[in-house]
Amino acid sequence: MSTEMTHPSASEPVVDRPIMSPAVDVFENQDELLIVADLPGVTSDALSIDLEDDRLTIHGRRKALCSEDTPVLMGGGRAFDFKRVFTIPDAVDADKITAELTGGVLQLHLPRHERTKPRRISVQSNG
Amino acid sequence: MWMTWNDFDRHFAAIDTLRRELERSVGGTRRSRNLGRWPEATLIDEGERFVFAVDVPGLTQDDLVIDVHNSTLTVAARRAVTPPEGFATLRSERAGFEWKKSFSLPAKIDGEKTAASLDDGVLTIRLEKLPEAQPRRISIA
Repeated sequence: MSTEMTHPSASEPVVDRPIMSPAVDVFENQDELLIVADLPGVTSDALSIDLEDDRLTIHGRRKALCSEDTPVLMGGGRAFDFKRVFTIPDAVDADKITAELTGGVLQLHLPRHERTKPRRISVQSNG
Repeated sequence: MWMTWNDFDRHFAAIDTLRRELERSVGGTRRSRNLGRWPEATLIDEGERFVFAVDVPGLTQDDLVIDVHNSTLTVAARRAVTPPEGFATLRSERAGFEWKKSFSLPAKIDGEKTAASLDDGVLTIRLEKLPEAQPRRISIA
């Protein structure tokens, strides 16, 4: 409703549903980047992880706890979508990205390309 | 001092304008991005039972304590988030937490038949109502 008034030419979603942003930790070591996301109530069939160019998108849907007409005494219980987008550095080997979802926690491993791993160059001394 | 109807209108109009301004600056793009928190705890009434669900990602049953006493439900949860060995932290949003929530349910519960399950980081507790608290249809004579 207010979208129309402020941006008459903006495209509106057909269904006005909020999109939640999951909490995420990002770690790194010399072998990989590790993204850990809290996705409680999400099963692997309801989760998509897409990589396009350097954009990694984690998105999906969490299903409702109950039907629309069940009385809710507190909180939500409704279905909602979630999404988070990351820009992945070139140093990541996209073909080797792996993901595991356990206990509502997603672990995304983004291994570095072999050639970009830090390496120590040994110095020969001459003379 | 009584406010006239006009005063009310003006006050709400000011708040509405503020809200629109806010929406315009925050929600400039197509998508209505809800920057609010992921919903945490839910309590619903399924007629024969209450169902309580709370998000506890990464927790196991050792991290949880559930008590039902008369019609009061108490849940305690604890999560410690430790960074993985040998990694540097670039971003940290997933917080550790420790909480205890108590709810006074509006009907008597059968403690014997209350069951809890933990799946995909969600703790779900089904609290069956006692027979005398079950919903019943009253017919009109």
